[in-house]
Amino acid sequence: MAGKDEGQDGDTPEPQVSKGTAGENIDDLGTPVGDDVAVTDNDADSTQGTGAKSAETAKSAKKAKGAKPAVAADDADAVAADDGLDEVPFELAEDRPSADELPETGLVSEFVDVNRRQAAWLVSNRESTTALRSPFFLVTGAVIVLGILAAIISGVVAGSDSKSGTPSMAMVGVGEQAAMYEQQLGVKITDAKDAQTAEKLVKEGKVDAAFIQDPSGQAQPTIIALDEQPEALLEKLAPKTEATLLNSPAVGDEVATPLLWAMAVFALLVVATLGTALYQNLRLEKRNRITEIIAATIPPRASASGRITGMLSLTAVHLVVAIVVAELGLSITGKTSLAFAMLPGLGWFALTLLFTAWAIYALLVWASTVSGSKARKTFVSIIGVITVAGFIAPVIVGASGTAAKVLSWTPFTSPLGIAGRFFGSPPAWWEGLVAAAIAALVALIIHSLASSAYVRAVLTGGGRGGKTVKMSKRAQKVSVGSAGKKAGSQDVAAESDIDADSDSDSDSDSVSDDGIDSDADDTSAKKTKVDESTDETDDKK
Amino acid sequence: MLTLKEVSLRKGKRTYLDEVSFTAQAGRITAIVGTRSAGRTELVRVIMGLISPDEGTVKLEDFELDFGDRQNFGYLPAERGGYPNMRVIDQIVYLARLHGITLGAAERNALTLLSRLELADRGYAPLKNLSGTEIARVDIAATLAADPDVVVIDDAFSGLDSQSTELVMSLLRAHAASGVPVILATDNWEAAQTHADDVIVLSQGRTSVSGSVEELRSDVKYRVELADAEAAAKTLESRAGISEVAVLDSADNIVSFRAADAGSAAQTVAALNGVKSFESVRPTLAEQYKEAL
Repeated sequence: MAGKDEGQDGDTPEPQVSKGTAGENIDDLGTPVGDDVAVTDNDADSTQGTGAKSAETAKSAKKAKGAKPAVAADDADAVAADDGLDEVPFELAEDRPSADELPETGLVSEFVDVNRRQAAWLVSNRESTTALRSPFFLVTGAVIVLGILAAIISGVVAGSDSKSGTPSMAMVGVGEQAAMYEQQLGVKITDAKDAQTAEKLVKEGKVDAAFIQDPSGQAQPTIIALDEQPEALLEKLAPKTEATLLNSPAVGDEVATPLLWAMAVFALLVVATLGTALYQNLRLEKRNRITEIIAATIPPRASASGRITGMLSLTAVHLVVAIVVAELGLSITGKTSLAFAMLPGLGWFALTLLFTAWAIYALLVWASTVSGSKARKTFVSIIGVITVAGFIAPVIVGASGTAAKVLSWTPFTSPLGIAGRFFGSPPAWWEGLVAAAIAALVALIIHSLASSAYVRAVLTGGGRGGKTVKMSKRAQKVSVGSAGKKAGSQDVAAESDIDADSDSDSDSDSVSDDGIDSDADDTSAKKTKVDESTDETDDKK
Repeated sequence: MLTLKEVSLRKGKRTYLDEVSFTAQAGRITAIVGTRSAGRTELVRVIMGLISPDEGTVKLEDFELDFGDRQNFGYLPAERGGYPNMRVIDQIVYLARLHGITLGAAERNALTLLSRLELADRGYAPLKNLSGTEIARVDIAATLAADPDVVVIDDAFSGLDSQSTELVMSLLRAHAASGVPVILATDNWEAAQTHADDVIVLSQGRTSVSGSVEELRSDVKYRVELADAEAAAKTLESRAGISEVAVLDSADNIVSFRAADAGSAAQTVAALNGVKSFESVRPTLAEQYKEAL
């Protein structure tokens, strides 16, 4: 077999080996090129690697025709020699086999095994790259980062305002004792000759208030202010007595509540942006029948998983960026203790939000397979309501009480629920783990159901009946190809719920004839549901 | 060689395919032709394993195909257009790589195909910036980029103008010549007749006509225009070796007939009086189809 590492003298690289972005000898699927690459060759034993019987059979047919010339290692040097190294630089010559050596099609056959994981990665990579380049993603990212920075900066400004705003007060006849009062009360004292002068200072806005004693000494002194209560000054004069809390909150209420709202908005922005991109891509693929091309090439389950993981990776990117910016911003502005106090809550929020986003994306994959625009819109609306309510409810309910505890463990509400509780009186660490575990379990179940729905939607043949397409061979082949182990046959039978919509791709309800049986997860073939009216509609179309 | 044997596909009372059998030979272009609702798309989907037939088998060489055995089949469904916002080359490379071809090979093949389809300058443009015929050519490039072992294209001439058709067909011809069965489904009789080697004509899910285009069109008829068509027809009917004599147009005095070979036809016509013109006519696929019905 001709592999990249088999250059005969080590000086001349193979002409037909991938020049992709991956490292030398490694295809970007992570497969060592030299080991598994199969190059179509005239040599009888040159075709290896794909493991597909069909491929082998067809390749042999090609060879029988003798139409696919060699691109093997031995020929590479001959090619380079033929091309005339005197005229062409060596580096360029290596990549240019002579015209005689090229197959009639001019195409290169060089294959690696694509197992289920790699297939999912390819799909995932495309999904995430597409979303990454979309203006919505960039705008969302910018809004999130700018929002966090704006919050931090406004917090700093507010803090500095409160520091610089030392309350001031006019006092009658304090004279040289003004400095002493200032030190004792922490209030800027201005000496006034009499009550009228003090009142004038208040009216001119030179002081926040005036402290006027009754000249007779009989009545209580009065404090006069212009048009609002001088709260800061009054607090200095009579500070409140506060109880020592046994369970002091990690993050104060004045920070925790706006922070939770900001996190809810962040979660909604990220999930809505990426979820919409995912859903639109799926609909586009169904409309253009790219779904069919992919289904004929890789396992549909891998395709469904790839889409979800692609969006999940971008969600993770958003989360990491947001948390890093927030923590760094707080640290830089001297609020390190707050940054530390927020960390556990943010950590559990990130983990549970990832699992929740996983569930939401899986639901959207599921929704995209539903026939009939009305049913599909209803499904998407339900997902939207669950998402919004799930993210907002814990913020409204608050961080304490039984309801908050339940919400912190409930799927969809757990990201904000558990974060709120960790910002308040922190619960035991394992409670965060329980919340994450429940979210992960629910996501896994929904993922499995959504994948089954996707498989069914792809393999129902546009409502043309026939038997259920079985994927046992595919599953077996992929397993063998990937791990080199004998894998048990995974019978994944796609239920033949008919999807008339996939043929006509009309959003009209008139061509939609079925729903999805969410309970059927790939177990056995079931009898095809038939709707004659759909046949007629298809025919008309 | 891809062989379908007695493939049937039903849904309820409706039969989409009824015992369809044919062989797509390696190195030849096979056209599945039929009117709408003839069962072309269903047959293509059965070939691609997207529908399992109720009866019958699909074999590549001697190996019966199951789902998942078509990883290196190049398939293009009837709809055209891929990902509008994706660059043309990225699209081709992505779809090719799903077949397991390496990144380098996919990129190289994509550039080669774009060049052959005269789209070299459009490779880095988003698909949405291309015209309809260009998109159709990109789809063809994406289908071939993994150097597939079998090529199956539904609605093969959809979106292609005459120039694009020539480009695409020369590419498919080259691919077929490399030892690959190329299967094209179409409702374009003329294009199928021009570009395919073999034809399967479907009618209501059944094979009504099948064979090589050469064979199907070898059933030559002769047409003669003369002064008195009725009299000539009577004369022709009385001659040995002449059959299917018919007056096509009594106003223009045209008579058609079938003869064993061109020589005997010419001899017979030479004996007729008042011959104005004499020609041999090959039947079109559409005529064959009508005749079969």
